[in-house]
Amino acid sequence: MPIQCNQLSLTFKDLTVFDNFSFEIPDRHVTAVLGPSGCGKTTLLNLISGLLSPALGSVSGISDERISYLFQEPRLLPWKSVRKNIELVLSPFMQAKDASVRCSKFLEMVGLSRFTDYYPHELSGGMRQRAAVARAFAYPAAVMLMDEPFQALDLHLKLSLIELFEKLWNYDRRTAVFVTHDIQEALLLGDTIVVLYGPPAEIQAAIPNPVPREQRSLKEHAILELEQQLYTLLA
Amino acid sequence: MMGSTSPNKGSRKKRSQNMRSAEHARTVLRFRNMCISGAAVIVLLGTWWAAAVLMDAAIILPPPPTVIRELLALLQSNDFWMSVWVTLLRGLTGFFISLLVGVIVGIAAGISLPLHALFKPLIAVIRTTPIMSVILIALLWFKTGTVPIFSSFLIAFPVITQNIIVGIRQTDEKLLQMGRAYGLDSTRRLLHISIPSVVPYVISGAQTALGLTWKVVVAAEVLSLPNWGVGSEMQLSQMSLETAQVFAWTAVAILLSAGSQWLLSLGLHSMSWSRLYADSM
Repeated sequence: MPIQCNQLSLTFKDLTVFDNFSFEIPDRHVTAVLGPSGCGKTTLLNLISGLLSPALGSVSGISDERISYLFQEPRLLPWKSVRKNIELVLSPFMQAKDASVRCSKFLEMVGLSRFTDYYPHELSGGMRQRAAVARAFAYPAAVMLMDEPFQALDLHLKLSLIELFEKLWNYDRRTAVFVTHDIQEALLLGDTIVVLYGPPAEIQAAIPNPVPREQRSLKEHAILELEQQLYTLLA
Repeated sequence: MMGSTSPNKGSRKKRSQNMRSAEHARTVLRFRNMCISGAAVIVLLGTWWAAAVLMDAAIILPPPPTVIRELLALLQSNDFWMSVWVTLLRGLTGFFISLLVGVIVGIAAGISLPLHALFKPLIAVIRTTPIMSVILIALLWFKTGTVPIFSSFLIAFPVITQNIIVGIRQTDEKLLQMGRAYGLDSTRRLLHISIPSVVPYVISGAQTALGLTWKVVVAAEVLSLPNWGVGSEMQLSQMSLETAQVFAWTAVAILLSAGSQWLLSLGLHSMSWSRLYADSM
């Protein structure tokens, strides 16, 4: 079921972030929301996840479905090992044994099998973010929200994490909303690229990615053309 | 693929080499610092000794050997051990009451703004009141043996409370938001996010409070003169101009304080409390 944002309105103090904003997020797709800082991208994610409530309007298609989250930072609990961090979010609805098995499986998929009992401070920044990716995918949710999760990483790490994300995403193809101000990330990850403008937030364009997921690269001609187009839109 | 982030064999070996040489460098530094500290102790003792010899008046400044002899003599009397024991009990009683009350008030005031507003003036007043005022007023209210316990409690518990309030306020909002986003209920958020993040503050508060406790207990004993107590003995020695004994009792008070603080940090360290707590959940 697609996620529908119906005529959302929200004001912070004097700033109108959303004014009668409607938006549909297709099922089992990665929707990249591209826009400059402060245009309401993170607020949009918080409205979808229910961390914030709109003053007017509603979000449908998501009620009592679990949501997994990837933040800008890994947000792992420093006093728990990688394994315990993941098991904690599984604990409300899973037997300890099942949680442990599921946790091991996803840590293996992100290449952290040997580091399951490490504490976050014992890992590099890239490894921590991989642990956060493992947590997001191990969490059995139909929807995944991502708030610039690769922003703090250097290009090399960023590309390897994007590759990792694709591998895990192909596994259960959950509906994903990916918020970023980085055009290249949006081009590589988004099945649809939505250009947001604001505040108040307005959709400037919603462009389907012309290149199928497996063939996307920053050398692909169609991708480069779209990149040009997006630059013009954002400039 | 992900070779850059998963350490391959070569870099792992290099990393462990780096870690070993870093370990070595730390050991060298630690040894150097121990030498400096040792030298400082020797200089202090030497200055004391030289001053005592120059002054040549044991009643004003006894030399270290006289103090050590006095201390060894004290160690052989039963009265000495009784005094130490009673002071120890007073200190520990005061400390544990402070810890209990400090944790309860600290968590309550940390979570609830109205309670914080309620306790804030009280804590501010106690923290700025001179220790001697507390003791003198306690003398009017309590039996001599209770004065040290009450005074140390009143001085130490605000320190713990204040630390815990700060700890709760400092709980990383981003981690709490992560907990909410992943659907953890408020009990799980409290147990796995808020409480573990306060643990280091409780520990540092307890360490400061324990150090204060001994100072206040001995000062209170000096003023209230209970039958037994390190402070009572110190005061009696001073009144009879047994200066070497005053120094010896001071050494006892220092050892009591340092020993208990060392035991506390040892206990906390070996238990690695916060980690143990987190792993058991």
